[in-house]
Amino acid sequence: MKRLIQYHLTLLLLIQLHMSLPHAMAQNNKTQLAITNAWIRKVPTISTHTAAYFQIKNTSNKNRILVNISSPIAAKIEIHTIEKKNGLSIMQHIDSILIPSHSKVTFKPGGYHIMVFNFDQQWFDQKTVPFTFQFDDGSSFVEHFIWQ
Amino acid sequence: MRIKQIASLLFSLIIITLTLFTNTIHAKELPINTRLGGHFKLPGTLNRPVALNEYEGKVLLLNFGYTTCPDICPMVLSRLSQTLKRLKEDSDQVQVLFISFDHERDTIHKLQQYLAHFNSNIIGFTGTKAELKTVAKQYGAIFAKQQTSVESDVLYAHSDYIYLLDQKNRIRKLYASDHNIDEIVADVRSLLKGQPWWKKLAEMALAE
Ligand SMILES: [Cu+2]
Repeated sequence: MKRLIQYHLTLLLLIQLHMSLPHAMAQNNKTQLAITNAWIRKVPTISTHTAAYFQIKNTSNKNRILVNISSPIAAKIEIHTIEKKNGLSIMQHIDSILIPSHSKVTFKPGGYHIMVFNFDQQWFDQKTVPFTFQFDDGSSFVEHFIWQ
Repeated sequence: MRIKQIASLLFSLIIITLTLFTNTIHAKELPINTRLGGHFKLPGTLNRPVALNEYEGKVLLLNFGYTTCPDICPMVLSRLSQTLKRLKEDSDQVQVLFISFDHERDTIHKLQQYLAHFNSNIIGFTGTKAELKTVAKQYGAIFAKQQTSVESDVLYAHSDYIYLLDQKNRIRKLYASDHNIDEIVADVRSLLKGQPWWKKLAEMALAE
């Protein structure tokens, strides 16, 4: 009898562990990489391009590399930085960006930005625009940006 | 006779003291930039050629850019419209000017639509390649096309200074595109206030 109870308890524990495991992992992605202040510039309607900004915080012990950002709003989306050289501001396309462990990276006007080429203006009618963030380890998540 | 001489001497002394005093206080006054700036007349968003000296008597905030610019130009224009809002009724005496160097894509009509998004009072300019080159040179503004595979995606590398011009169209200060708005507002206000009466009096007396 004692054995039987022990066996059932172990089984129950195993089932619970099994059920909570994938859940915990999904949460890791969200909690260890947090996006805040995500906004996309509400440019004049005659504009063809726009830019989007956010802050990303990596609370994990691992360095993460952001390798791609995509969105249904445009076919061509790039990660840009602005290089200042001899009084010139030059936009540069970068392939990836390191989000070091326990630190944050800020995308803001005049600096890092998500460059959105020839965007679909129908998205102006939506409250938010989804952007998918992809990392070098194959993980990804979607974040919603508000027009501002 | 003697009283008159003493009075005149006293008056001169007061003037000299006041002048010295103002000079030390006004060491903070914005210096006039003698290397950059100058007159121009370009096709403007008033649907006619607009000359800079039409805005004599106003404090001006001038910037160069282009409407396809996704990051810096909208940032500067929204900051300049914030500056106007912060100036409240004083903004009547301030004019924001935007010169597009993208003569291939930016038309007057396009500029009108673009600028209205930020503030209905901003005046935009464009021109021929040669005209824009001349004005850019006067103001030390630089721009160069960046390489892209698609023509419609052409972006410019450009300088993004905001120029503060006084009521006589002289450059008094250059700001970086992300410069603190409080300081811009304070500088505009200092130009609007102009000189204190005693300095004007001192200058008049010395000129005589
Ligand atoms: Cu860009």
